[in-house]
Amino acid sequence: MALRICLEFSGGAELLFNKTKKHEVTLPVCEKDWTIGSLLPWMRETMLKERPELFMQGNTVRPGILVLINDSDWELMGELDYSIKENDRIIFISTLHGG
Amino acid sequence: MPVTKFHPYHGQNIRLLHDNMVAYRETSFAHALTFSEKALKPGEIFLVEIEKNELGWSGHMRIGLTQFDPSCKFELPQYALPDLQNMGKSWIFAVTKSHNKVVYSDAGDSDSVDREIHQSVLGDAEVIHTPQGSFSRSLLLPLRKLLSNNYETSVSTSSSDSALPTDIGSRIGIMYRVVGDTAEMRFIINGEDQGPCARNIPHQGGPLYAVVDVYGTTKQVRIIQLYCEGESDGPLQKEKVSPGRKCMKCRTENAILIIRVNDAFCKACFMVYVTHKFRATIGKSKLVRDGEKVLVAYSGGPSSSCLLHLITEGLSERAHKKLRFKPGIIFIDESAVLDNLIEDGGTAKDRIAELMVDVGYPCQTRRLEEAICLDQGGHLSEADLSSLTESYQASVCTSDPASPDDNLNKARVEIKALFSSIKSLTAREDMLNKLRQRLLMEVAHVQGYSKVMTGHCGTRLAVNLLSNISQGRGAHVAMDTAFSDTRYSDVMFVRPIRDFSSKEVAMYNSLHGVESVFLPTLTTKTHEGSSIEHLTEAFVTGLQTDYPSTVSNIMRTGEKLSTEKRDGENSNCALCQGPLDTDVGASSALNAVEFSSLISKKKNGRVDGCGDSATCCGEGDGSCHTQSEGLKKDEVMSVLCYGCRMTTKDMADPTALPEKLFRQISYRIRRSKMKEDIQDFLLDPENS
Ligand SMILES: [Zn+2]
Ligand SMILES: [Zn+2]
Repeated sequence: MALRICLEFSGGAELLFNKTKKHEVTLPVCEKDWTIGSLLPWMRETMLKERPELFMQGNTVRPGILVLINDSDWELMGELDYSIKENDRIIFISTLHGG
Repeated sequence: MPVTKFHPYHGQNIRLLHDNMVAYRETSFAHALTFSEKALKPGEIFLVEIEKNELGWSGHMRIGLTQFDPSCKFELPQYALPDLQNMGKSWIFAVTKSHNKVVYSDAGDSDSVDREIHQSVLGDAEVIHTPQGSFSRSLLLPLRKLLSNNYETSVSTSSSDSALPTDIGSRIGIMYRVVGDTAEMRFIINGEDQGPCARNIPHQGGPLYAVVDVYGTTKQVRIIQLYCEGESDGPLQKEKVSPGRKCMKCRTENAILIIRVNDAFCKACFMVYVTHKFRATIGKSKLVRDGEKVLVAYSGGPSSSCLLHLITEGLSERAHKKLRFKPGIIFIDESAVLDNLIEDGGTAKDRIAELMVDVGYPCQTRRLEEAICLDQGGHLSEADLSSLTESYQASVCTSDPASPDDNLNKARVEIKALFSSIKSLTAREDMLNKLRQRLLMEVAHVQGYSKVMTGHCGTRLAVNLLSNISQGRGAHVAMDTAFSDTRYSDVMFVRPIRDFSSKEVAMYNSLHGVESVFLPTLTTKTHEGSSIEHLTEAFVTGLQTDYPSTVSNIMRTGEKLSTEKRDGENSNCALCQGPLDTDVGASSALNAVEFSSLISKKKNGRVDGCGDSATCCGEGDGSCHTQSEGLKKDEVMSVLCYGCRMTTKDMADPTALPEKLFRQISYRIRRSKMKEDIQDFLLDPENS
């Protein structure tokens, strides 16, 4: 089943995503569970408008970008291994000076 | 003092982690003896913190002293109590839930220890001195106790008062002191000396090692470094956190974030922690007085929004121990040098103005170009400033570039010229920082604010510290990163959230719904290496991700640096007001740079192309503009610190520097020239 989730960007991270802070997205059906680890490459392919290196580094987010899953620090949720659920709200906050 | 560690020889169920500073019992409840790596010296406190408990066992950690040397790899018994104790030469006690002052082991020596009122070995002072070194009393306390001591709120008190010595976070120390020919052993539980708990220890019979049995419920303990600052939370690598962790403070709520090295907090406890940290930073310094006028620099960004929110909360009636200073808010519109980056036509700036007005304190918007025309007798005098008085309404100094104010428009052109004459992004960023700082200082000075608060968080300051060093501003790093910056004569800059990481700031804003407005900077969307500052930021945040104590370690290093303050008007840099660091020996890097520019200048002719400095219009007092235009680049350089010289070197035209600065420069040069000229006529006190 396809998953509907909400992605939010702030602190300048929104500049890379069409300058839009809030995106309602539907993740396509996938054999395996959607995790943050599979969400990030998907975002890079389908959503990132420019300069992917300013958002991602390797297979994870660039240092200085804070990830919150339903208002909790992703470090407490298993980071890349967290499996995404329907209606999850995932926020990417750039803590870098100037975004 | 080297780092205190566990001895590599230990019970079979123990695994040592973190460079042998953490002992973890992998299984069962037995075979978990550990020792200090080195024998303790008299008076030395060996302190551990309980990091993990495992329910289902009875009994807790045991701790004590032994004269068995772990290096001899003697056959380890299952337990410290009673086995090791029964082997002799060992004095061991069990840590219990209801720890009373003197706990006796069944097998202890039969000398009675009287329950006399003992003198605490710790004394009453904030700093505890032992023969091995001094440390802050707070190191002996568990974090939750520290929080509740200083900040009594509904959230913190109930749970922490009932905290037990066997709980997670509890800190338990062991030490001995010499009394006559023998020694007595003392327990220190969460900052309290429990009194002598074994006497007549023949310490001369052999070295005494600390012994910790990670027994029963106690699952993991960490050695707290008392004598080796910086190592206690040294460059520890980030640990993988198991999902579903509980808050380390209240231990009931689920944690929602990890801060510092590996501390998990729930929402309520994090809020208490942040507010407390802010209040403690302000309170501890005792610098901000009741009723004092404080100018709060607001950029719309996350850190200054967080600062503003903390101030508003602290000043509100509902705050516990209300803050009592009088804030005014200032936003500096930097569009003059950033306008090509701003694409939204000013909606972000309008939003900032709205947010500022909503807070309900006096507020104002200033334009960066005012930094180059703020000048007594210059374009924008004190009288002009007061006509633009701060107000509670949105009728703040307009940020409309089509302002009828000719002087400001002229300044806007000048400042654009100034920035376009600076070649590198590094120097442009540096110039922007210095001009912003000057403008804040001038506004505060003219409007009678004695303090300026800026929202620099620790992460930002750590980046500044390293990039300042890379830009030759090493002499100023201490004042650039400290809580208070006193380089300006009558205005002090304070940084109340310097102990916050950018993650804490982001989390605070997110949880409180604090709105921040994103405005691009000079380095927005540029590549990592576009400027020294930008590159340093990538470096520090990259390290911070894997080593969460990076920022605090950089900051601590910064605190150890200091510069002597020299007096006299000529000892401060004309641009940044930092102490001049250019009075140095012949072989310094500065001289090397000067020398190479001298060589290259011979090839290219004079850089500035200006004539003699004696082109004054004839007013005689040297205050006219033509005088300053006659300044040579070298002369400008001579009144700048090393870092500002580097920035100025990058400019094609140093005469584009702010006019007020120019007046200072020409004044100083005249003074020193005059001194030279009249030198021969001065009476030498020696010969008269
Ligand atoms: Zn809690
Ligand atoms: Zn300087």
